[in-house]
Amino acid sequence: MELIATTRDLADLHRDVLARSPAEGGAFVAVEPSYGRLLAHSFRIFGDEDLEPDSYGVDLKEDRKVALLAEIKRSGHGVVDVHSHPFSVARVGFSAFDLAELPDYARYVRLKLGNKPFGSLVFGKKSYAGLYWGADGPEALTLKASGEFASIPSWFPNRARTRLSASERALYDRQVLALGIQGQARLAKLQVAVVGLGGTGSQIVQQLSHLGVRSFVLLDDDVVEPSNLPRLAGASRADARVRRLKDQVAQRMVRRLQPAATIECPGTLRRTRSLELLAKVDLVVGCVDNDGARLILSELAAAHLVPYVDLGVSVENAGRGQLGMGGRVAFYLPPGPCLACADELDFAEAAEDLEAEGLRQIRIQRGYASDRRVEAAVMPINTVIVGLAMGEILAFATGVRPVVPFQRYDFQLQRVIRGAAHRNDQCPLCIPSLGMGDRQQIARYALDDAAS
Amino acid sequence: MHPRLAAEWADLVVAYPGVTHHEQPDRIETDLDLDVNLFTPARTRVAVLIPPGYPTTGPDGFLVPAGLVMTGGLPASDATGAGMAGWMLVSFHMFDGNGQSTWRPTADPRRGDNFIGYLCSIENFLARGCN
Repeated sequence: MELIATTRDLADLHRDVLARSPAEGGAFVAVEPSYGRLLAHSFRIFGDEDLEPDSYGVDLKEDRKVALLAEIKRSGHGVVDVHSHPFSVARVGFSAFDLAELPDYARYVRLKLGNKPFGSLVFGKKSYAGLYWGADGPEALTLKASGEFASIPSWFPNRARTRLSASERALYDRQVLALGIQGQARLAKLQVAVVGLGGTGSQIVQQLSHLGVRSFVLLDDDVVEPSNLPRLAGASRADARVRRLKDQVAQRMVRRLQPAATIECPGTLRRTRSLELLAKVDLVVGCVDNDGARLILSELAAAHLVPYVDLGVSVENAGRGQLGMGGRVAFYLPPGPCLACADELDFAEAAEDLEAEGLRQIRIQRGYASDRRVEAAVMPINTVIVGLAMGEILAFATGVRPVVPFQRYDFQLQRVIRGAAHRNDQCPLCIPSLGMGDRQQIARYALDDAAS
Repeated sequence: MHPRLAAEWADLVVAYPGVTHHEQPDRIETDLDLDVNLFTPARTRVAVLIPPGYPTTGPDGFLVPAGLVMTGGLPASDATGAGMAGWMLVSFHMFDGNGQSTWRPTADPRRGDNFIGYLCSIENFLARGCN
């Protein structure tokens, strides 16, 4: 079983559990299932008032244990019990006492929580060990960090140096000079979903393939039209003639650069399968042209702790020389701020985008809604925004610098403006859904289930 | 049940004891009393469709069974296209005078806009003769 936690939570949890060193420390991590994995929703470090000495060190007081488990039960979460072995330096493991006690403790907690997931972690200074009790008995519990590579704590095994093969070193030697072997290896391991394979998405796929990314989820159910050709990287007149699907064009582009790449093309965003695949990737890149899709991706990213970078391009020609062109890149790293916190989502537009077709038709008949107009677009503006986004993706994946969460490009002013956004504690989008996993029911956005 | 509706449900059944949840389409229903000088009959079933993006995106309009009559005419359309055959969709929007949405939800199901407030607004709207 895999437990996914944000890089910040992982670092804080490890630091706080070991803060009582040389004494043992402990915590409960409230967890939620997420498509067959677990998410760390929140955690509670045990304080002095929670602990009492026992013959093996310290233990959680019985009344505190009952109260804390009751609190977790009320919230509907499962739990991962965490404790520290401060004297374990290189490779920590469960003690014989832990291994003798844990099966009974697992049964007790699962009974208390109504068979919700239960696991146990032990932290040493530079390592961890984990066990999970599922329906078929105990199995290993491993940690996965969600977030910027630069923020992954030093004790975490993902930071261990990774080798590149000789042919990979030769292929990427210029990049290795810039990003290091570890950075290049991290790109090769990254699984990226690109949602929307039009003017910006096609260029994102192209650049990711050149960089050495080998695992893709590509979403778009549109076909290539002649009017797409001035902006669609990798597309030809023949593609427009046969109305080839954009995801097939993107897939072909990846294969030319990464023949062994793993590529999934589930079609449109609003499919059950698409939403499940997106919930499991390391990074979602949103290259969509509507706020309905942005709302879905923001909620999915919060619920399943998936980093999400969103690209927006705007070209407005008001006539008489009044041309406004530019765009923005927003990078959501759970816990936020998200696009809604940063006021980058138009809720009314999102509502129109997401409403059922039948309802929309009624509103069009009554004059409350209109068909969408064709938006102006030019490739070089897309390319600038893609370049800004790719810079942040590089920062995210390789740790060469921290990610800049919000930036805006103004073509007229020829400036990139760094935005300031703060997490809104009352954000209706990211706060209630953060780390809620399957309970957030992201599949409710799927239209295939509704149709079946 | 939609996760946010589930979070509001305990308060909603206290405010509207007859409220029920239905699927396909996802909606809540309750009975409301009407002004006998304006409506026939004097009590109606009301349904509110739950948008998938709720609460970020708020409800837009409500449904009443076909056959509800209002003096001066009910501003409603046949709702068969919305999967509610036998119902009418009543135009009711949370907009200000400039056509901007006034829907302001928060992370807390008890603060800002929610289904209790929306049903309450529908009651007021019907009491004003849909004005």
